[in-house]
Amino acid sequence: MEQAALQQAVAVIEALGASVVAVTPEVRTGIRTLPPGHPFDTVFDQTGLTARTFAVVIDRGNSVARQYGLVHGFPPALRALYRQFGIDLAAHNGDDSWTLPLPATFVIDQHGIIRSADVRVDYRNRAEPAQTIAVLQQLRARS
Amino acid sequence: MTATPPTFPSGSLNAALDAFKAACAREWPPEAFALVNQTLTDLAQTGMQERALKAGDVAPSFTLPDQDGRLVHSQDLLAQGPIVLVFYRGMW
Repeated sequence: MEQAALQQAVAVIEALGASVVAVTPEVRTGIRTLPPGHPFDTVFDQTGLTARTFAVVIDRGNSVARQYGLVHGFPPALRALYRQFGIDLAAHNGDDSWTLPLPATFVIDQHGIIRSADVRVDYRNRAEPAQTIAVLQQLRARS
Repeated sequence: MTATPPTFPSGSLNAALDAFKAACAREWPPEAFALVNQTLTDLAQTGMQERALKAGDVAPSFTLPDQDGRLVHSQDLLAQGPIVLVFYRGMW
């Protein structure tokens, strides 16, 4: 859902002079691997996959995410649950570390300074695009 | 067992995500939902969220490949304007 929401917001973001870069450890981006009816099936809607006009980059092994302090592992019980749901992170991410980034949205200004950071422990919520846009508007007003 | 996500009105991503979470709570096996919640509680208690980079910090620069193998350089983008950098888990 977040990717689709970003796609809805990207025109406004770009009109404010900014670019969007989505970073994922997933190597096999854009490949549908969940069968219909799978419990995780519907939330990962395909709108973003087919229609994303912004940059999507692959952070293999979460090396950049680690520099931002976002990388965490999985306890064995949760790994087992994911496998039970047919999600093999090692295959998706091309490494067997079973690590993921916390979902996070950073607005970085032209001097390379982070101006806002929205970091979520609960991956089921994400930065609200309207908030991101508000930060960019403030940046632009000051420059 | 499949929870149907609501379509989100623009500007209210988290309202839609909250509705989806509530649907999962109703429709998933209770022990699975409880395990996910417990893991998130444990993760919160590590304090890692507070140790992540925050406003005022220098953003580490990066060069990463897109899906077609083209390299994206953060420095090139910053020369044009601010970057909205969004980390996400994957589309699986």
